Amino acid sequence: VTLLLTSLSGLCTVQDLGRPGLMHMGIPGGGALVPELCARANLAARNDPSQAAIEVLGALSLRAQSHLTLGTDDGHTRELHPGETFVLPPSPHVHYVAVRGGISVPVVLGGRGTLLVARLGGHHGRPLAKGDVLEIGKGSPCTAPLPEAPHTTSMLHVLPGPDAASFEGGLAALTRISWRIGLRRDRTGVQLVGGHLHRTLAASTQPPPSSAPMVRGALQVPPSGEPIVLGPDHPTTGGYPVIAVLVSEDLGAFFARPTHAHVALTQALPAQPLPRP
Amino acid sequence: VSRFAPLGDRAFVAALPEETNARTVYRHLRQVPGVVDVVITESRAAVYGNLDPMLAEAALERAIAEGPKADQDATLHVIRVQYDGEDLPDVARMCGLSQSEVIALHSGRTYSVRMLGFQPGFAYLGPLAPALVAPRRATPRVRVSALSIGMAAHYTGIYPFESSGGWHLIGHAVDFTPFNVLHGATFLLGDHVQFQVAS
Repeated sequence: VTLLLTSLSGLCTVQDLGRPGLMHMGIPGGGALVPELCARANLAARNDPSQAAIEVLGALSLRAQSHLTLGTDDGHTRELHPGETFVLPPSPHVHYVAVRGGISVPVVLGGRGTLLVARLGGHHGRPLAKGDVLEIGKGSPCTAPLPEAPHTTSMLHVLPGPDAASFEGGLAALTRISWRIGLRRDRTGVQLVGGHLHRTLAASTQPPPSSAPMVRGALQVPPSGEPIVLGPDHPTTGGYPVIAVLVSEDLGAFFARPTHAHVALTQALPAQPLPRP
Repeated sequence: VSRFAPLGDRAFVAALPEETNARTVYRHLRQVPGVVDVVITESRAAVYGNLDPMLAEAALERAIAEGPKADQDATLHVIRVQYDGEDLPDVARMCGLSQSEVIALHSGRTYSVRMLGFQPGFAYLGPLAPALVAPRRATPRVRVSALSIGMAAHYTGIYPFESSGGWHLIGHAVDFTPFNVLHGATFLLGDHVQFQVAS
């Protein structure tokens, strides 16, 4: 069972829920930019949410070469007869297309997702292209209910990062600015525009810190002062200071926001620490 | 006071005391219940997952108590190098050395894997001979080919994949696979690496 990609624009890759556990080798967790939407597409296709699906940042058309059941992140299920075409029109939002049975690509280092920096996983380790033929797998059906899509409000919660105090005004300088999603965005990170953050005099006269461990959702601030929010394929270490980290609950909502969308960062209440036994 | 501070709500990061064996720290932190990932850099260690930071704390204390002694299971990798990098003349000029002196210094010592990061399988090898320490290039290259050997500050390393890069390129590794899809990175934290001039 196969499908043919008849036209594509932007960045389309095969993704799943990632390959955790390998960050010590410099391999990021990877997986879908918005796992909730990927899971919705899979469940709409009656797949287990861990199946590989197509992540679309742009547009895509495909033609069924046999009978297919598609699921999309809006929760719709579509039956395609052989020769029938499905079109996902150009969109500023990230979308997912799943196929009943899952996109059949090999499991590489524990995941099926494409890791572009290492040219591994997914469809031969590369973005999908017009003319590619994708095999459909035989994953067993799943009838779990659709998970909710991430919220679409602009308010997103952050916790102070390890270097928050090294910025003029600290975390408040970040939460005061009305940010927008910048044009520089890929699976490694998304730039925020709309203001500039400044290091304190003391921090800016010190030698740059050595590399530190990074995490998805960290807001790294390069010398330009415009933060970069680290995405699923982020380098595992980085040398720029981290002013804040998005709370995990808001990661999907953040990466689902289209270019130019407004982002209002607000400080989250810190989680209650576990009581010491 | 805990050494570990939150890095978001799914990770904790701690400053590492000097003279800590990174591989020992890795081994202990990996065993903490709930830990999914561990990343160690020269000065910090992070644990990822849904975990109790007090348990990570205790594991880190155990690693520190073991001291800086090297693990016995570190692998020695001998890498053949063609010293034909386009920045070799620049490096020699910056360091006030001849090109053959740069090559002799670079290939004349055993490095250890100080950390991994930047790219899958990219190992920061160090320390570089003090005479070779030079800052990164002012303008990073947009394209550095895979297997290029670069150096900057106290480090040298092999680019596993074609990418952008700001290190001075002094050569390329011969017959070497820095990363494979079965096992991941070839160089692991604490491994030893020697460079040998390829004839």
